[in-house]
Amino acid sequence: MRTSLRTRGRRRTRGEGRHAVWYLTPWGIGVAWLVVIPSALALYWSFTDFNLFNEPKWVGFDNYANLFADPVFLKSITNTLFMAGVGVAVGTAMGLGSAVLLNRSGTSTTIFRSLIFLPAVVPPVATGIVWTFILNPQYGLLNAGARALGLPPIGWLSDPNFAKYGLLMMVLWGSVGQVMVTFVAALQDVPEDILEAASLDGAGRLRTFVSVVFPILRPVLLYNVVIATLFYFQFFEQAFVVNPTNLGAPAQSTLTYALYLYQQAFTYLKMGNAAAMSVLLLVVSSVVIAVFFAINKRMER
Amino acid sequence: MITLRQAEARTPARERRRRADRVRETIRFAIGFALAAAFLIPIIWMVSGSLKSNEAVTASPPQLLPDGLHWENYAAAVTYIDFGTYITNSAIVTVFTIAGTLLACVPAAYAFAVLRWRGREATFGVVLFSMMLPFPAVMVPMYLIFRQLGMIGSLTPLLVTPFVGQFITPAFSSALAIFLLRQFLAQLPYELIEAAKIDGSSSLRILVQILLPLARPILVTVTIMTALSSWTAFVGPLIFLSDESLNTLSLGLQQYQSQHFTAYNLLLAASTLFVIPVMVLFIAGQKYFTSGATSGAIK
Repeated sequence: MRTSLRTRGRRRTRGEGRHAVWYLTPWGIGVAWLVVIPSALALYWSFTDFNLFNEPKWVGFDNYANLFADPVFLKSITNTLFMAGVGVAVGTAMGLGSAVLLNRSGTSTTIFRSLIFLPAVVPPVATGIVWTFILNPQYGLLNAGARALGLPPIGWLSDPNFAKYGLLMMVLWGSVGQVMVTFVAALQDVPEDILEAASLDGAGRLRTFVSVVFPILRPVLLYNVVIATLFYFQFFEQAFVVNPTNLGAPAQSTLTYALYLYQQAFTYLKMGNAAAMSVLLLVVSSVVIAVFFAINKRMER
Repeated sequence: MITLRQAEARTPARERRRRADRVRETIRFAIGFALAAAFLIPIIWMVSGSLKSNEAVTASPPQLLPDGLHWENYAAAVTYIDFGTYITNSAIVTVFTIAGTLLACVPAAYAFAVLRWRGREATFGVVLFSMMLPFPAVMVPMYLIFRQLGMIGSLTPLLVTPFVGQFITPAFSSALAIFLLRQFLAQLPYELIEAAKIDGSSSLRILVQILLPLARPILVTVTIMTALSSWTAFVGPLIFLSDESLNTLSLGLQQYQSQHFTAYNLLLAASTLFVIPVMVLFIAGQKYFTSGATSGAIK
């Protein structure tokens, strides 16, 4: 059996440690300069009234208290959580569904898979522009289809009740393909002979899927849920592009947490508030990441 | 042994099952086709809109086919905004990001995968953590740091960050590059390195002459993912570039949308031009895109 680099003995030599320092220097500088220092500064500024032009003055927990008393801030949180909930569930389900459907070899399925993946490489700005046209209530393609079916046109981006769904559509358009390819890759790891054995034992398709296939897919499922959750927590680009001059429109229904953070910093120059929002995002994301690692570790056992 | 009678009795059942399979395959094909078509439509709509007259783009009900091929939209689109400058800026940023990512992340991955030193696993935890770190959580202090250094209002922040392994977009990051490279290097057979060590090769020589040639597939994947995500990057440029003449194409298009909102067909033509290089890259190296998307999920 050949030994891989990971599994060999723990013997370490001092010389390699010295080399490692050199190889890690650029990255180490980056971590210190652009991760550790910014995080520390954000924490400090979150307790000050910093507005870019003044000397920061200590204000204790005022910024945090102000934020939680601010209805727009709370709205940005519920918006983000709503889109995360729906987006993660629908995106994962569609990705898994299309992977199961298209887990075949053959020219047609390969082409279908490529076409579903293709939107993943379209720049978010271009995505936002094109979908603004598709979702338009007057000349949009989607409403033309709806009208053909006798349904009333919907302002997918202009009606506060629907704008989140319009936004989710364009995000899912780009992300389903990526989720799909991870599931397809995992499905190829399902051993053929186990499936045959299961079918010989008279296990139905659903039964086979639940007890044989699903355990193999579970780590990938977890990965996709975490990646998607973290994506929606920092959701910014498409939400920015659909209303660049009036962020979060209509009626703040698409104002995500990251957009509001951006507004606090660069529109209102309230760096203290923005820093407090950064800290909160950092803490919540860290908790999500930690939970992910904990679950992952437990499943490996 | 199967007797003739048993075989006869089985035939209709088998026939039925085969027919059911065929029906299932047809349904599968139909759903797959419909899904693929639905995902392709927005791209077709963009290209078709880019060839329409401006009235036709906003016609109600929408016109499925362009009213003649208005290729002149493309000529107009690149002169309407400072397309040349924007695309040059995007190209510069992309080239620097690729170079910086490879120069910072390959050695780091090597140190994590091959070299043996105390605290390696703990330090790698920092990589794992920053892989998932949301950019909005650090963008404001990062902006203020760059502002302090007088780098805001130039391309410098975007050009420097990759070289210190801090290129971050929602889709890809330096940390993910380190992770992917480390995964690949760690599964290469250790005998290779042992043998080279006995020959007296230095660690740098082992990396450059032995490991990198073997790591070609992952290097291509990382390069493509970096190119794609820096070409399409939006948040970083939005925050760090305050001067319109420094806009990358992402920003240029977005400003185009908000300012020159009357020329929809030109906007779609410019978007098409923006997407074309990415599509070409995708068609040329599709397997690298999908392996880039899956290698984080599959060990």
